[in-house]
Amino acid sequence: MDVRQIQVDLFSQVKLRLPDHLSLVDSVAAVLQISADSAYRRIRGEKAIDLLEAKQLCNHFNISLDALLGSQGSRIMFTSNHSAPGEFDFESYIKSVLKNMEYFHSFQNKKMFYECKDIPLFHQFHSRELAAFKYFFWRKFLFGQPSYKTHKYSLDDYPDELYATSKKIQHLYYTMPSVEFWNLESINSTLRQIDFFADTGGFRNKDDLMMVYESVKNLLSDLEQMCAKGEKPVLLKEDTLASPGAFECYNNEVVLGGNTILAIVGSGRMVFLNHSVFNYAVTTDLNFGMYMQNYLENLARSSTQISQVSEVERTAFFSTLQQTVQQRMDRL
Amino acid sequence: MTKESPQKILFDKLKDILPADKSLAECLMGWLNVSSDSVYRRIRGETPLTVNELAAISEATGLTANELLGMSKPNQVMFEPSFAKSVTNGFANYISQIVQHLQSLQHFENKQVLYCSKDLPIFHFFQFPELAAFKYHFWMHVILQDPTFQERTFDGMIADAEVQLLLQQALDSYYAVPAIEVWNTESVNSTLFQIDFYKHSRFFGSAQEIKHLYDVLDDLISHVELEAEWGTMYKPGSNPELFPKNFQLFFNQVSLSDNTMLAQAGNRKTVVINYGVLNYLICYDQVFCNSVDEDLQNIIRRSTKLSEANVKQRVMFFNALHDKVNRYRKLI
Repeated sequence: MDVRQIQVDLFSQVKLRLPDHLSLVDSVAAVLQISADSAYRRIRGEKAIDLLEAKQLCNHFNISLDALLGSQGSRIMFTSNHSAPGEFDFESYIKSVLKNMEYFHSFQNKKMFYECKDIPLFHQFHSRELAAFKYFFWRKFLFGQPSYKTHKYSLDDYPDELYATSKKIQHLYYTMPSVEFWNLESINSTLRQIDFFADTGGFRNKDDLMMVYESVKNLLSDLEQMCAKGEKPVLLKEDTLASPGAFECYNNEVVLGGNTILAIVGSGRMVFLNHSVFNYAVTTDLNFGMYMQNYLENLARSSTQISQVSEVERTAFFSTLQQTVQQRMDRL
Repeated sequence: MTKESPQKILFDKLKDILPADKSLAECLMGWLNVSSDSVYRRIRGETPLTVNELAAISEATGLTANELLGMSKPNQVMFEPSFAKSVTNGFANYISQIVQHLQSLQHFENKQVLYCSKDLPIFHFFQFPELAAFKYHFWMHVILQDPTFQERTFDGMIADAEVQLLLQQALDSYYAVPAIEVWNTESVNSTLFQIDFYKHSRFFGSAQEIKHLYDVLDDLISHVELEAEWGTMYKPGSNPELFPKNFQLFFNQVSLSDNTMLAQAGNRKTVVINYGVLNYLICYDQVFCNSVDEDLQNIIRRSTKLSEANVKQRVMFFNALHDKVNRYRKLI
């Protein structure tokens, strides 16, 4: 195995993970606590890095040393943050989502693909009513938090700070180019969750229940407009540098999505794979990312584009979704 | 070299794993192809190990570089990917791997597969040749985009005898392991979407052919209902009393699943995460597998049991699936 090649590969991986405004030399020098000249010599392969330096760089930039050495074979390293039922901290989870979004935004070249099984997380923050409902659902049902056992849905229980963070996330998503794969199933999971709490006394009164259904309808109306324009709006007006993110949306009628997310960041790829209903495993493995990109681009070819073009199909699609929600409201 | 240096960690690790009758220095001489003096200089930390020496040690010991350097993080997990490719024998190899995985479970006394399904678990299709043929055609044509399937209309059969045989083996192997399946009423949807997609794409020869496929899908649903009633997986037309009680079915009403599988063989667990329709990632990391097991048990606790007991819920659930098929059949 060529040591110099491993070193070149390592620094290529570091570069892939660096936001556009940071230089490779300065970053390497800072992590290894060496001069810029010494960093240059290592990057050019004139000086071999030792194991301590390799370890420091891999740890800092979350690189798999095994992937570089080929010692992991065909295996792929994923990061999976797991919380046991009852121990889930929604606030920390939301903060980690914000951190990821800020990281994506540190790149000039960025794009997100979202293969929906459910309403994408970013759209769940569309209104306080819907965001509060999802917060309630996660805490009460999925993670069975004991303090939530007798709780009923209430807007007042949704912390202001959390809503502000959610709105920042939504803003960052709206200002990032994205491709979403929806189908007529994509709202069912949320509607089932609302039904479940309607049937099991999770709402204080009919008004609260209607308010949540209404929030889904409002989201669908806004989504239809985003599809028609082919771009998402800028939410936080104080962010004067922000520009609307391009929005491509497809009606994927052939496979049920899996809430898989692919983020293109610079020349790198991050894939978020959903598993066991609500957890994610994340990898920065470039080959795997490229494979998923190819899969999603193929999926686009088998799907109907409902953003910018295909007005008839778009109207029919959103009208069916609206009717699905309305039928539930009419039954109350 | 300080005590915490990666080189010291690596040699300590090697001392831990080497059999008592093996000397570290002798092993290193062989693995690194260097003299005794050179080995001792490395052990004493006077000569730094290079990254390719690390790779050689990793290859010789079977330990990953991360493990050797103490870099494994609790949330980092290695997955083995499996790709269904459209190259010659690619699909056959893919099914063959599934058969091997399932057969490897059979030697264990304590074995089980837990399948949290988003679509109908693929093994059920293999009992009904027409549906197996349809799924095979769809996978080859739409998902794998195999050039030989692009112009080929659906003819109701699998021409490849090897694939036919392997699908049967996969079914037999699945039946040999006790299974717990978690479904919801959406589980049938992707198959209905796919038949509908083929209908609109004119891949069927006649309306009769489409009707027949819906009829067979009804047969499949009725058969799984019987399997749930008996708590037994058995071939259509055979006597369920002759087969072991090895099937449990649950109805998860609230959250859509994602085809995550958890296999147990003895005390070892394996998690299989599905992505891109056919592909999957396998994980043997026991900490990760236990956490997924915990999540899936949480889902089961919140689901309604449909097998053996709960006749009313079972009948209602399967009627809902038949109703969906009927709705599509009426639109032919």
